Formats: sequence, structure tokens, C-alpha cells
Amino acid sequence: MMSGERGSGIEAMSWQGIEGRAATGRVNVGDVERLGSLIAAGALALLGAGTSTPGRVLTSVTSGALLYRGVSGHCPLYQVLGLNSTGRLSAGQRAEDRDDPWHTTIHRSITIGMPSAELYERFRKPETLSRIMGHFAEVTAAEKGGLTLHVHGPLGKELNWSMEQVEARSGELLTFRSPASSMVQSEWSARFRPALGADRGSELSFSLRLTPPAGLLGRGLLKLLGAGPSVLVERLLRNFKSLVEAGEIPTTEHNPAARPTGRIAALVHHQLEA
Amino acid sequence: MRALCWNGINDLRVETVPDPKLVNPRDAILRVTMSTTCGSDLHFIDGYIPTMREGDVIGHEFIGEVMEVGHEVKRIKRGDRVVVPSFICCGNCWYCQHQLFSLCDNTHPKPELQEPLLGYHTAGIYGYTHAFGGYAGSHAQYIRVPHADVDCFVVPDGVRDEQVLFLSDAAPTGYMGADFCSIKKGDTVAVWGCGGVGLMAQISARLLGA
Repeated sequence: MMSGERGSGIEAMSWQGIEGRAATGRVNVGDVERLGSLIAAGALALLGAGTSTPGRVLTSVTSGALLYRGVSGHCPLYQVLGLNSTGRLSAGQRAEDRDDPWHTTIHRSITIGMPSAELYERFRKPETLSRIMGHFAEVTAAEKGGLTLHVHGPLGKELNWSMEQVEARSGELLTFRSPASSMVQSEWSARFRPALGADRGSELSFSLRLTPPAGLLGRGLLKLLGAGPSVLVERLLRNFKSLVEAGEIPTTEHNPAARPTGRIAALVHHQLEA
Repeated sequence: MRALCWNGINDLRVETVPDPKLVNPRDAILRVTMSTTCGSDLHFIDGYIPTMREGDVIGHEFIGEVMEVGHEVKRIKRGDRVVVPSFICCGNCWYCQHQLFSLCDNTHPKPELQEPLLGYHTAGIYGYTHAFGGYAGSHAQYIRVPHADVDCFVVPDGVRDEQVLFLSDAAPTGYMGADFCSIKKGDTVAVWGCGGVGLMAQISARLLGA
């Protein structure tokens, strides 16, 4: 664990993610789905045989893609969306995500060189939350101390959900939860306490539980936005630490390089690299 | 602008890339006047360090003229001639406060690429793989320098660029090697390897009394 060695990193980071990558290889489609893909490939090939030329081309291509998916167990679309139906770890997943990261509470801690009371005040501001969430979401204030999260999706679509303040103990604890009727079920808490060591500042422990709507599709879209739950929490904590300690969040945006630029190009490249 | 880019193992090309921009308020944009090659560049050029991407601008040892500064930059101004260390440091975290600058907590934008391998993350470095931050390097006409007030050292008039260029990396690296040796006055010291860092280690050893 990093925390023992350095004292200012994120706890609960480990080698498990790397082990997971080594164990899974490129297979990201579960056995039932693979069988389904093979059956669908055969059915499409039969249907396509009796159609016109454009129809035959279309069904042949689709049938071939399904055949590849069934035989190899690898789905390029799943890879880009960061999905995996095998029940094993996909690239970039932590071992704790093995069961279902979207139904597991993610816990992370980080040490920040600032008193707890000051961190608490900075963390509770919607504008701070917007900045540390980066491209994932914008946060605005709602009534009774609540928050509204705005996630900007593809094609100009926006997903909004509100969170009610459940608990606020000055300098110690903040807890927010979405109402039972919310399309997105989420809950997070941030706990602040003095860090061990005289000049180490404070420890911020953060817990997140997030269940997006629309099943696999919703999860895939959030993953495309860079929001796998454990990665989201780790980035959020690191960004907060950098913002309060250094005044800004490190970035390589607008980095000169001899390759295509733009958000979609960057997203696809990032997902394929992961 | 023109820049030297990595396109694959042993495949470097001078290409046209976008100019850098001020992104964060503590950034400066420098016109690079000298940039030199480090022995450690050979590691990723030869393919021994992963996480390079086609099109990356390389180079991490440089000197330049300040062209533009962000609104939070107070100490450095346009026109200053500055030498810049290869590691990017915030100056405020626990490590920077304890002069362990290469472990700065707040300048690596992609620590998740590095931590699984090293167990911790370092500061970001210019032009030295995405595992070390992915910042564009200095073998280019211009470069973005984050935390300019902390990382830019103004060169006094009368000192030539080539006299201070190596303060960016080779000189402190060689000095650290000599410092590790606890040299006493009159010691005889042998240095293995007479590249840029080795030469700096020899000079440092002499300064320390060898």
C-alpha cells in the first residue's frame, strides 16, 4: 500500500489491477453471450442468403462480426466501452470491482497538507466539486444544502440528478444521498480527520456508491466519460489534493503532439490503450 | 511549431504540431533556445520504457525565453531567460516542502499509469513517457511550463545558455552521484561513464574536495 510508504498517496491502490489484466487477456464476452452470438451469426447467415445483394452484404458482415465475437470471446465495442460480461476483471478494473463495481461502495483515502476544517469548507462548495470532477460532471447548489449533478453525455444529452444532504458535521463529515425516486442511485460521504504525523495535515476518506440508469448502456456511457467508479473516486481525491495544495489540477490538455486531436479521438485512443 | 516526435522504436521525426497554450494559471510558455539529449531518452527510444504514444514530443533538458505567463505567475515575467528542471514541482506539497522535488504529489496528471508498477508516483517530467506524466517535451520551438514561479530559474546576464543548460538535469544528477559518495578533501574518485552526467559527476567531485 502506498500510504504506509509515503503517507500522502491514495490508500487501497494495489497491484491487483495489474494482476487482473494479466489474468483476463482479451476475452471480454461471457460464455452465454458467446453462445448467443454464434447462434445469431448462423441465423443471420441463413436469413441473408435469400435477400438482395445489399441485404446479403449487410447480413454477411454482421454475421461475420458475431461469429468473431462468439469464437474469440472478444468484443471491440465492449473494449471501447470498458464492459466485460465474463465476470472477470477487464483492463483497468480493480480487483474490488470484480463482483459489480456499480453496486459496491468504493472507499479511498488521501492525505492532504491542510487542516480538516479548511478542507471541509473547500470540499462542500459546489464549484470545488465541479472542478475536481473534471469532465465527468458539473455540480450546482440545490435547496436545503443539496446538490445537483449534471453529466454531459454524447450528442448534447445531459443526465441530471439531485442529492440531498444527509449529514454535515463541520470539519468532520459530509454525507449526500440521492432520493429514492432518483433515476441515478448514488450516495457519497467525505470524512475529515487529522493525519498521523505532526506536519502531515489531514486525512480525507471518501466513499461512493453509484448505480447509473439503463443497465449496461448507462455504465458503458459513464465509463466512456472516464467514470469507472474506483477511477472516478481516485481522480476526485487527487484533483482535490492538487487543487488545495498547489492551487491547480495537473493536466496535459492542449498538449502539443503529432496525432489527431479532439475529444472523441482522445477517448477512443484512451480506451483502446487501457 | 516544429518539434521532434517519437513515432515508434528508433523512429524519431521532426513534425509540425500545435503550439502550446497557457492552460493553468501558473503556466508559462517558453521559446526554447537550447534543448539537449539525455542518456535516459535512449531508454524509451529503444522501446525499454512503455507508455510512449505515437506523436509524443520528446526532450526534458532545456533553457528558454519566457514568452507568456498565466495570471497567477508573479515572479517570472515575459522576456526572462530561464533554465527549467526536468521534473515538474508544485513547491507546496509535503515532498516539495522537504526538498524531495522529484516525488511532488501534484504535477503528475496520470499517476494511475505509474503506481501499479512503482508502488507510488513521481512528479511529472517533460517529454518522458505517459507513465511519467505525458507532458510535451522540449525538443520543440515552444514549451508549456507548469508552476513557472517554482520551476523557472532566471539566468543572470553575462552567463551564456550553454553554461547553464545542464543545470536542467545532467549537472544536478551528476552532483547527486558525487554527493552520495561522502567525498572528503583530498579523496581520489573514479567515475565510470563519461557522458554528460559522468562529466558533471567529475566536476562535482572536484568541487566537493576530491
